[in-house]
Amino acid sequence: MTTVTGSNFGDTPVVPAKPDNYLTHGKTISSWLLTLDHKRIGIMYLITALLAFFIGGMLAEVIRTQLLVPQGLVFHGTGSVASSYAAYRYYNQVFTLHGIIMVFLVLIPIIPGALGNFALPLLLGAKDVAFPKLNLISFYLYVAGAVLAIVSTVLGAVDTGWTFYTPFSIQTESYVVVMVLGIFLVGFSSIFTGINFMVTIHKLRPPGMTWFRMPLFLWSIYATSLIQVAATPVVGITFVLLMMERVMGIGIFNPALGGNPVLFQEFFWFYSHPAVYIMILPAMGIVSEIIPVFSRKHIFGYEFIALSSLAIALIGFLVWGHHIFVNGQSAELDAVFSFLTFIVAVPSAIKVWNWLATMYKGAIVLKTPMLYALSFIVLFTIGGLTGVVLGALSEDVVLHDTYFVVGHFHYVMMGGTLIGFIAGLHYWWPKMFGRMYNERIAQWTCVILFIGINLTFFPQLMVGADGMPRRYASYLPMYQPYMIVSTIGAYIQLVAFLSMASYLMHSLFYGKKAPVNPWGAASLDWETSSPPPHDNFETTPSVGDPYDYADLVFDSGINGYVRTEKPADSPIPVTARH
Amino acid sequence: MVGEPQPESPNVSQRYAGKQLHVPGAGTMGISLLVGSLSILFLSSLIGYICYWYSFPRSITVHLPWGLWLSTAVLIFSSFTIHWAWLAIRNDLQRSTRIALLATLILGIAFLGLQCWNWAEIYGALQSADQALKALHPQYVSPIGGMRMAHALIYEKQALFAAFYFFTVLHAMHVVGGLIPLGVVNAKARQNVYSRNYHPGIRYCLIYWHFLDAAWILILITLLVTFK
Repeated sequence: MTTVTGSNFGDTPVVPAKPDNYLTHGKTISSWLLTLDHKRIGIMYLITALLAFFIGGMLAEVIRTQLLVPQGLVFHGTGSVASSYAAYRYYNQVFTLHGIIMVFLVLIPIIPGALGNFALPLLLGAKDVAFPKLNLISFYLYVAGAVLAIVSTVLGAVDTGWTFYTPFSIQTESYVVVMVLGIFLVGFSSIFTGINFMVTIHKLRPPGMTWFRMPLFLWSIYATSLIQVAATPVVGITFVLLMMERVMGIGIFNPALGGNPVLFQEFFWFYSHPAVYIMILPAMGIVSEIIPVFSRKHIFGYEFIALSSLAIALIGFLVWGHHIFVNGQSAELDAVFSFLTFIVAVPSAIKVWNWLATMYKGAIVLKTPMLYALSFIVLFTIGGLTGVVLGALSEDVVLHDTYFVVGHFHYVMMGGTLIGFIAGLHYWWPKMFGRMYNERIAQWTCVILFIGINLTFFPQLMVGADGMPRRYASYLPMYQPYMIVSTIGAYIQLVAFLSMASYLMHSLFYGKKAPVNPWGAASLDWETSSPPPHDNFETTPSVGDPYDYADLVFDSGINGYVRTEKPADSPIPVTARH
Repeated sequence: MVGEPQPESPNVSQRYAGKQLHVPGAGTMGISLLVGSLSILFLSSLIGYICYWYSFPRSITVHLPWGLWLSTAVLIFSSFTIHWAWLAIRNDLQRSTRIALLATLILGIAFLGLQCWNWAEIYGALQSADQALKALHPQYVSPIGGMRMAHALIYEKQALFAAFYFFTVLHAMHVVGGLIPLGVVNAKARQNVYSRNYHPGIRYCLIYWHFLDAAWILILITLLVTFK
């Protein structure tokens, strides 16, 4: 807490020092690498995860280029079956690495790690997370896991698919053990982050911020952390058992030794289905923050959005069996899992409905974060509803292992998580770096990305419904038109991402100085300067309703919003309340 | 505002005292969540093993080394000593706390020593089981690394021994992970850092140690059920 000392009132003129912020608080490399500041750790997560995203994205472009022609454009044989087989093995490695990198190194850590770390203590009005050292350990565990993934790729890239299904993952000669060890470390990073965030939300809420006055992003992070803490150990031990299979020959998942490969699938999906909610819940939280701000209207159905996050987290634990419908599970169990899968769609639908109701009769401002949030709603709805299609038992039997599944989860992961992340990145960018990006270019980029995503993944739904299997390096010529459109979409996405990278880099150095509150948000993260000082807040901010925009007015002088005293006699405008 | 600011509440003043946070209750909650997460790790692996064991022909008899009982007794006893340390510090009995913490550390190390002995014992049993199977099936080759044998007896034997090593080593690694902070807590107790009102390290070790105990008892029961 700063206090004005007596010397400031003396005769010597006070030289206004350059304001110190967390980016300039220490300039040495070790002040970054060994920092305990949640904001710097968030930035380091951001950089690492974006690097991983770049690699995973380039692999995706290789996949799409391969599928331009039926026999494969990148990897194809010289005519004989044997040469094709040898060439297509590389394709297996490419889509496996794409999957592993995107799931474990990008989608799971990127929102909690980067945006969660940066924004969570700010939203709480706190100085840091509950355990700053554990936070740094989490980051380095994540880096260590990523390094092991690179090592395994250099030694002999894994070709099992990101799911590591046995018995092939026991038999393949690629370096499964190293890769799985890397994912094990990333898993523990995820557990530690979850513990840290849960304790922070429990113990560091400022006086006056009750559970139901928290910003909704905190609710979604809380639900995510719950899954991280409870589900990740299961995949950890599954991967340890897989390592033991390869090293010691335990046999638990190996049918040749009396083991059961479906047991591996049960274990794997017991984590990996809840992991889908680890990916999507924080993105939903970001959208819940953005939509009321850019509708200038109080969030509608706060309690429903908050509790639906918890409902998704809990029901998400009960649906893993829908990945195993056709793998020998009993029909009775199939029916139960199918039913539970329909149930989990309900809380998601509640969220979407409340977002729409928030926008209804609001004064919608189509700034970039809002455009991404709207894209999220469209794309996530397509992804979610195709998920319900797949959850229907009789349809899954037909669509299992086809491109329909690929289209479905890319709509959710790309159109949901990643678009949610990008929305959050644009929303908090002025707070992170104290600079504004070029709004016009950013808006056009969003439109291009939206078109690219739909062009890429909608044809995949169609071609999957036509029967094209996933993970094939070559295909029948009848599918080629869909594949060409899909590949064009992937290139359009590449253009959009390159544009995004360039205008964001440009804004870092040449962007306009960001005001304290450029969007007119009412949550505590916008009470401090942009970028925030090392200690976040000079005094404890006072807690109000995080979605009450009535007393925020636009000041064209600073190009941002300022808080005014609410006149006591004037009623709150009707549109500001639900 | 000149001079010391008036704290709004004890919590807030502590929270803003500096970058080093001491949040009341946060550590206990954190360690409890960690223990919960690790419990899920142990439970899920035990469930997986029991599912696998269920399909065994169950025709092989391997006796567990009797040293397991000894190590179990040592671990349970160490759970009592750390509880004693916690009770002692709550009554500000520094000397008793130091003795109890040291006893826990020594018992923990003794447990690891006994486990090493058990691993040697079970390795001997593995050799003799191999001999017996070789006599029964002359075409049988060593199972380590070779996964192409077909006989149910052989994979049952292999799985039993692997499970023994898997669970005991997994648990021993968690014991090692507990002994390191326990050593730090011992050193701090020698410097009289802890008091009636301030003893977070001892409380965290206590929670973790009881978890180690409970996990071990579950593992022992599973081994007793699956080994004859």
